[in-house]
Amino acid sequence: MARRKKLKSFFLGLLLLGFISFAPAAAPAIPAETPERPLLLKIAPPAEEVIRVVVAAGGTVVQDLRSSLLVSVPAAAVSRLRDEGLTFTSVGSPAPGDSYFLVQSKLPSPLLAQPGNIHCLLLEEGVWLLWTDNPDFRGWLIQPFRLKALRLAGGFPGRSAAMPPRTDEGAAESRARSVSVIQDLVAKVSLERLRTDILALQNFTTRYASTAPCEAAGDFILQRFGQLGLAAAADPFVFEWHYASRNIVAVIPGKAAPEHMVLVCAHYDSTSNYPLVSAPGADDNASGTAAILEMARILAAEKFNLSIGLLCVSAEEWGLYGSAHYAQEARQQGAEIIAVVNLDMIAYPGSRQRVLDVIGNRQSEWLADRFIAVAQPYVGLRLAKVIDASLTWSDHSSFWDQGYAALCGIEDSDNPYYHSTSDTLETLDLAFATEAVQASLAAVAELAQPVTSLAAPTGLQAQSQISASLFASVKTVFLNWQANPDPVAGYHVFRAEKSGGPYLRLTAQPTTGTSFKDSLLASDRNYFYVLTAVDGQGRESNYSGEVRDDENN
Amino acid sequence: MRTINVKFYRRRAFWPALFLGLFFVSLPAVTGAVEKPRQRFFIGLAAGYLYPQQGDFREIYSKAIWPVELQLELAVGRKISVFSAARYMETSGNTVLLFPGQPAEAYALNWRMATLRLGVNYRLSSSRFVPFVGAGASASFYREQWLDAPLTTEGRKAGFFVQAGGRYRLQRRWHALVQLEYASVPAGSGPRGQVNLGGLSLFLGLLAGIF
Ligand SMILES: [Zn+2]
Repeated sequence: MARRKKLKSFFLGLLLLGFISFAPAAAPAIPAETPERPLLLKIAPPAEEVIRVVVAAGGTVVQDLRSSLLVSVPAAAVSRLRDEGLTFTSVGSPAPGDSYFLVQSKLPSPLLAQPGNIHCLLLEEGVWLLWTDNPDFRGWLIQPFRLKALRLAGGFPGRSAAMPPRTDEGAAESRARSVSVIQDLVAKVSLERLRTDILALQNFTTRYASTAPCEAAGDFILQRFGQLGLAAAADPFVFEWHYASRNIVAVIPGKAAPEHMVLVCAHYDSTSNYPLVSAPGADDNASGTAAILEMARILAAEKFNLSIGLLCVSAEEWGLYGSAHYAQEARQQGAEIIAVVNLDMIAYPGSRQRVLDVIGNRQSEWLADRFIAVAQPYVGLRLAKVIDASLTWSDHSSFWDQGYAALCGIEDSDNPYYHSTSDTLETLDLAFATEAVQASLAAVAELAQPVTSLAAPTGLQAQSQISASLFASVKTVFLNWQANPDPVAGYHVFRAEKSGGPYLRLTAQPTTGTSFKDSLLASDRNYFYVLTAVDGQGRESNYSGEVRDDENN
Repeated sequence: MRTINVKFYRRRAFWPALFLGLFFVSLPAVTGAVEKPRQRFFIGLAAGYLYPQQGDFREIYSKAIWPVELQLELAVGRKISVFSAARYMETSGNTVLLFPGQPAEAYALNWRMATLRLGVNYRLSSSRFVPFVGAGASASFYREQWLDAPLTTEGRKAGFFVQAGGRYRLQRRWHALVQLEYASVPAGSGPRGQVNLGGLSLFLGLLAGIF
């Protein structure tokens, strides 16, 4: 069946190709532009200023790349972009029924042949834009391929300022306590459990999204979360018009700031050269999925100030559909996901040095730095930071698109069994996978802040005032908070010039009241405050939630 | 929060002008008051009331401002005279709040300004009462100081003024002066927008004809 269809499209393609070769040379397979359709443009450089101009002109960023941006703008706005001095090239005007994808390929073309209804354009090194109205276009792609489905509308209109999480620096007592908690957690990671889970996932034969075994694998994960006593749910979605699958998500609610979430994710679906028949996907990505299950087991037994989300997504191999669905819903609901750690292929270090790449985009660089700083001391494998917005080939990219800080932990090697029926447990290095899980666990636990014996202060509010003379002005910030339920000796007040710190302690001795005035500040900037509580033995709590100086004005 | 470090009180221009002024004030006594029907050179002292043109200025320095001035005037024709003047004013005030709904925080302020004025008057008659109109340019040296915070802004700004007034001869040598003046001294921008240090002022004074 599939082969006949392929043949049919091939000949149809040949026919179209013949047609196109007689068409004027100036029309290189780009759909005709009509005024009412938006235009896809490639703009360089991918600067914040460019994004502002595009958004102001009514456009959206479709894809943020290493050296350019792919944007969708109303046709009428093109002259405005030109007036603003932007340099861009038109990539075409999406026709109804066309689907757009990014394809990774270092080959001269990602296609076996070029049928007329599949169009390719090189955006930058190794990154192709593909658009087609042919639902069977995957048959024309050279194996193995990596795909990302693009959404031409509904994306986050530009990058957000990533929100760094509260840090624990400076609070010596709680820091020491956090470190000992994290040490204990890291020691609990079990190689044998990883092996068991990878094998269980591999035994579903195929986890190709859209197939029944893939859904069964989803049920397996849901059940495992349930056994840990976690609130877990399936998050169903539809992709490519008529296929359906589910993300499986569980949450460990935070104790101090449950609205803030550290999310760890992995795709549980798989693919191969015969995806309907066999796709064991042991490295890709039973390894990441098993890591989530193992982290869930360990983290569920500990208390954290922030919530921890455990997300297993599906249809990644089809083009990141599951994570795109989750990330978009999260953004629409205003979910405060402070960091996303995506694990995809963490068990095949190859013959080279044992290296786990930590991939981020520019907005997530702080997260990559933080991940490495926290996790490296616990593991022998080397954590290598890679900042490249064009590395969109896994689920972290869906979170980048929604303006969240996200990174991908991935082995720094070329797995020869990648996307094949031979990607099985025997080929894996589980000691490497164990260390990768330990690193991720340490970073996630640190980001979510283990709860200390003394509760962090709550109810911090800030109002600011500016006092002005003719020529000068100063800002005064008035803080107040709720008295801790536990007996405390006082509170320390900290100030930062950036959200998330580093924080400077303002109180030499703990202040005993529940208010504080910070005077003579620059009036033209914002300040950020957190508190700690200190008990009679001098032990200090974690930081409270952060407030901006004018948050309650 | 910008602080302009012009120590104008230590500048050369201020003290010689003051010294020169005092010298001329004492001149009649020294020279034994030579009587001439009409003097061409006058020296005088005046004090007045300033109404700052800018609302911010009035709000911050809400107390009345009483400038004092030393004037030198030289008639260069039947109708025209040139004059120069040194003026000084000082007042105190309090900062204002930019966010009215929020908790208040006020700081005490001190304001000083010295102005050197140079201009031309046109006399409208030559009887005992002499109305006149005039105009000229000014250089103002100011200092705004926060008394309980380490914040001081100093600066020097040029401006212009127009004035009208009258002079009444009390005796051969002594004249009473009344003078209404509008001055503009644009002084750049502050926290609430453009600042102008000028305004409307009314002066009363006494002039002595020297020669
Ligand atoms: Zn994968």
